[in-house]
Amino acid sequence: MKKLFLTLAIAGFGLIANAQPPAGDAKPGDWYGDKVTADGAADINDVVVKLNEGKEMEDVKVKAKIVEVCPKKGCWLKLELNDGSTAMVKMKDYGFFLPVSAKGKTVVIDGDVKIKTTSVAELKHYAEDAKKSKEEIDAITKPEKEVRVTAKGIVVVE
Amino acid sequence: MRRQKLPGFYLSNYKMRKGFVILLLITGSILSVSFMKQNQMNSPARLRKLYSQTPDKWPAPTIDAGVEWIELGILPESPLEKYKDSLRHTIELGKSLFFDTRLSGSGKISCASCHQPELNWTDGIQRSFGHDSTINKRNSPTIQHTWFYKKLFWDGRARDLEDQAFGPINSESEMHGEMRELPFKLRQIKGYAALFDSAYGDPRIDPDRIAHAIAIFEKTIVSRKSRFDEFLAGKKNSLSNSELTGLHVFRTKARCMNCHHGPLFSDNQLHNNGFADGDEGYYKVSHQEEDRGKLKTPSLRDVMKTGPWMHNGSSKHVIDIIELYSKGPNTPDKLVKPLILSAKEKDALLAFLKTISAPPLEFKKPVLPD
Repeated sequence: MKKLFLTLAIAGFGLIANAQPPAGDAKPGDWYGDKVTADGAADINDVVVKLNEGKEMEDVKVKAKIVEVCPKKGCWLKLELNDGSTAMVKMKDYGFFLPVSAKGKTVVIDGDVKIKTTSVAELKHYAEDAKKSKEEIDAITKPEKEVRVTAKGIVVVE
Repeated sequence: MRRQKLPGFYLSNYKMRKGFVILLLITGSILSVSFMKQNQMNSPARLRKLYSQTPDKWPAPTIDAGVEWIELGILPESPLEKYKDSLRHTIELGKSLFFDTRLSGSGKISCASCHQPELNWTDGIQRSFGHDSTINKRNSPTIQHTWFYKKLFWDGRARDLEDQAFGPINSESEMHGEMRELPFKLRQIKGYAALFDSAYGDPRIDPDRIAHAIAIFEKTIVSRKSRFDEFLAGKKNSLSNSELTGLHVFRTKARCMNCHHGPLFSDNQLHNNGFADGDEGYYKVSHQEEDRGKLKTPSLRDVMKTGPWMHNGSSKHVIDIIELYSKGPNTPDKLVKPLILSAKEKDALLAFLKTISAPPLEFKKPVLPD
């Protein structure tokens, strides 16, 4: 009974998430955050090669395909990389959001690119949280390198 | 000597001179009568009489056609006040999260770093220091009465407080954290499981619960009642003559009520008040040209305690803002126009703003879980 009351009280104050990503079709030419042009954009894979050489790239334009958009708020994206992994994009100052329709679109992003390393211990914990099988968790043996992009502005190109 | 220099005026046209003197006398007396009348109209005694009535009988405010407005009023309580008891565990959890620096990437910054209870929940500086001493883009606003706003952040880009809570945590320039990874981090702190259990009925920790608990806590934060509230409650000598004049100027000549109305002195809208200074404001969200430079109308409750002012903290003194509004800042918003206030009116406005400002309510900081 107490639990039911608690649930009701909480439901009454909005744990039923009502935030959602912005509407829109993310058509070519649509832009988010700072208005950027596609001019002078480099393929993200070329930029990642340079990063692997130990550089941190600030204020670069990268061209990439979006494979995932934060379904709740549109506050992060994942980009396709040619090694089968993805790059994680967050918006500068949490300043803007993308519609989920941006999934599958090719975009040019103006921002900073770097590589973040996640330790084996952390990865194992995330896998546990995600209720992965013991075999899958045991299979985690090396730290994960993830390409991180902090986007100032994004424009849809195709 | 003078006669020689101006013979026409002094000698030859006596009739005309007489006429001129009479005209001068008439004009002078009309002016002085109307001045006296104006003076009587706004005399402290008359204003005190008028404003001692209930607000529905106050003189009509100067508000442009089409503006929906609400009369000023006594400080409202948080809508959560009635439910504080049933929500106490969620509030306690939210309070811990709000003050916990372990939510940030560096482990050094909490929400309370920029929203300090002692400073009416601001940080008292122009723009806050974020991760690695990064100077943030905008001024840290108070979290008093955040329950009231329909849109959050200065540019209105968050739709509710839960949504807003993700912002500073995730932002690389503020707390430099990862909401996605936060449940894992908090699970390492044993005490949090019990707090989440009491709040939500089971110990699961997830980003939505974190944001929700912070939002619920924030919604309980309000101002202390001010002298203006005492005045409205019937203590008619709690405002001085100058402060009463300020109230009248605020409602009429200074046009403040076009945006700062209602018991919280905000219309809950976004405007370009001419202070945007290159900030794109809501344009960045809507991509509509008319929204360029539009920023949230902040509540004026405790305004004298929440400086530096404006979205970028560029104003160091409230009187400077009054001066600028008086001249008429440059903006396409038709609600903002030159006011040409007298020195006395500006001082009275400032005096009135002090009556709606009070020190923060007593607040006990939480003991953080281990």
